Amino acid sequence: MIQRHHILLLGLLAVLTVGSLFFSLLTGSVELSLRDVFLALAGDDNSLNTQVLREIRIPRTLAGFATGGLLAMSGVIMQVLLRNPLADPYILGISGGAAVGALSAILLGLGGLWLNNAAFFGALLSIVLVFGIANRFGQWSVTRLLLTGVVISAGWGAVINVLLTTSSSNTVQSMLFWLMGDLSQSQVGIGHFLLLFAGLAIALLFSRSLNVLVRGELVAAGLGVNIERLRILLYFAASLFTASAVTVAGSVGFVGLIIPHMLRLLGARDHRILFPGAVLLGGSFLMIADSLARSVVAPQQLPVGVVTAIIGVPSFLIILRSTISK
Amino acid sequence: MSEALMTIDSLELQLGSKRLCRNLNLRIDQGQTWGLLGRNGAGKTTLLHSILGLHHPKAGNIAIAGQSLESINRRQLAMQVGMLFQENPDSLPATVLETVMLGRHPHSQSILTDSEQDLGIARKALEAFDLAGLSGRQVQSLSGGERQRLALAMLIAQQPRLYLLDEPSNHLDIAFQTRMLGILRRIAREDSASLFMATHDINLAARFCDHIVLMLPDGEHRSGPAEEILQEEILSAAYDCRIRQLKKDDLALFYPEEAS
Repeated sequence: MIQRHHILLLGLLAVLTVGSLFFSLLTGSVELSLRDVFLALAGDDNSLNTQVLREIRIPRTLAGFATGGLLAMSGVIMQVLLRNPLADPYILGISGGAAVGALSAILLGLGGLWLNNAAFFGALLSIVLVFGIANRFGQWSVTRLLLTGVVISAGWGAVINVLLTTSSSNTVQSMLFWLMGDLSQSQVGIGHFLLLFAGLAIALLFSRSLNVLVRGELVAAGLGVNIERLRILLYFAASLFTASAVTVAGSVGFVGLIIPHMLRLLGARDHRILFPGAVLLGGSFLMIADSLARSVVAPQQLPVGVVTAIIGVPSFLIILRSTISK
Repeated sequence: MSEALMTIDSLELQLGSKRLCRNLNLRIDQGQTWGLLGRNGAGKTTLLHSILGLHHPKAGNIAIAGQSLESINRRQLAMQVGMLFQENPDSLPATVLETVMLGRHPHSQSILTDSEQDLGIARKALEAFDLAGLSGRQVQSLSGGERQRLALAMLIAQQPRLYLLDEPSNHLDIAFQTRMLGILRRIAREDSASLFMATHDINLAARFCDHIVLMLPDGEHRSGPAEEILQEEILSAAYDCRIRQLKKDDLALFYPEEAS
């Protein structure tokens, strides 16, 4: 059910998103002012500051927003699909597959587009593998899907360890950055934003059905939801969001797990609020985390995945505590 | 003669390798209250699930308002048939009013907004089961009995023509059992809807049902007006246990004779 305070919550999240966007644009090794940002956006300026913004800050900020939004939406879906509050976008092995792809590319000395394609290919392979095995006997149960995903994920983990232990120390460094999630090399394209917004639109279309699915598959079927079709749609939607996110940023942890829960604790239980809320809060969260990742130990950079955990853990615990005491 | 709400033709149900029933024929008319009796594992729940299209029968046909189940899509079916399930699994947090509103799912037209009409129906459903004061409460904080009443309220918010009830008296104390089923039956009758309830409680069935289907251990069944089926001999055979009847005023009370 949508109530007035839900609309207010979305409004506040939109403000937070705009704030985080500017925070991210203004944070970094080069001091920039709001004026520089507007000059760069206006277009006909060619100063050094504008170049920094156009070539580094803006792409990186947008990558943070898109990745955070996709991961948070994927987390919402996985938690409902698997009926498990501990589910996150990576639980079914998608990030593992992507990591094996990416790490192999790094090992071969490939970068940029090659690395992204390898990661995306690894993610797709994992999606198809898990679905194929779980679907094998026609009985597509949530438990089977979860177990298949977890086992495949463990398999990828082993391959990752082999790659890590057999690589030279300087390639291991970039591998670790990829594994922890890092936006410094990120290239976000129009495709990611198309996926983000088209994904959000589709998610909104199915929000009512998800509200019912939360009450259990039997109840949902009894209320007219085509469970079989919905499950497959949810699996592939969440998988595609995750694959796209890890391709941009590596496996940034924590966003997909805690953002959905934070929103639920803040009262956004209806998926019509939860999905747009997840895009805004997930996006803001990652933009802020990345700003900190490149400024707290400057000129050194931290992988953003480390920062998401460092600020995610306490803020989640604070919200959990304040809502339980109510 | 009124139109049949549901007809079942030579139905055969199988669960795994176990055959539950064969050649089951049944016709439920508008406004009737049917009881579904049988021993544990006789196939009561499976039969109810089959009517909702959640279990595929091995043979036979089920039709709702003259339309074969296969030709009705899920949402249309959910506007005709609603079910109270035995288990209401705990899940992510939700309030009482939010939960009842889910009952309106098959009817809701708009994707993004809740209609005032749906909200009105949901609130009335809560009032009917004495839950209006709890509408803002978290479902997790409710007692077992309150949750069962909430599930019943969600079901009447769905406004089906046929109510399938799987052990509706679960978690309800003896006072609530009769009150809640009384309320449910009154609401169903006002809509000339029908009830079909699976229960272990023969006395509850005797009190509320005008017709009975009794599933027998060998896969056969007996069906008909309650007073014809609810007899000592027939029940004793079905439950493989000596069952006796006490009569007082208009009530019949069945009890098992002590095992020797």
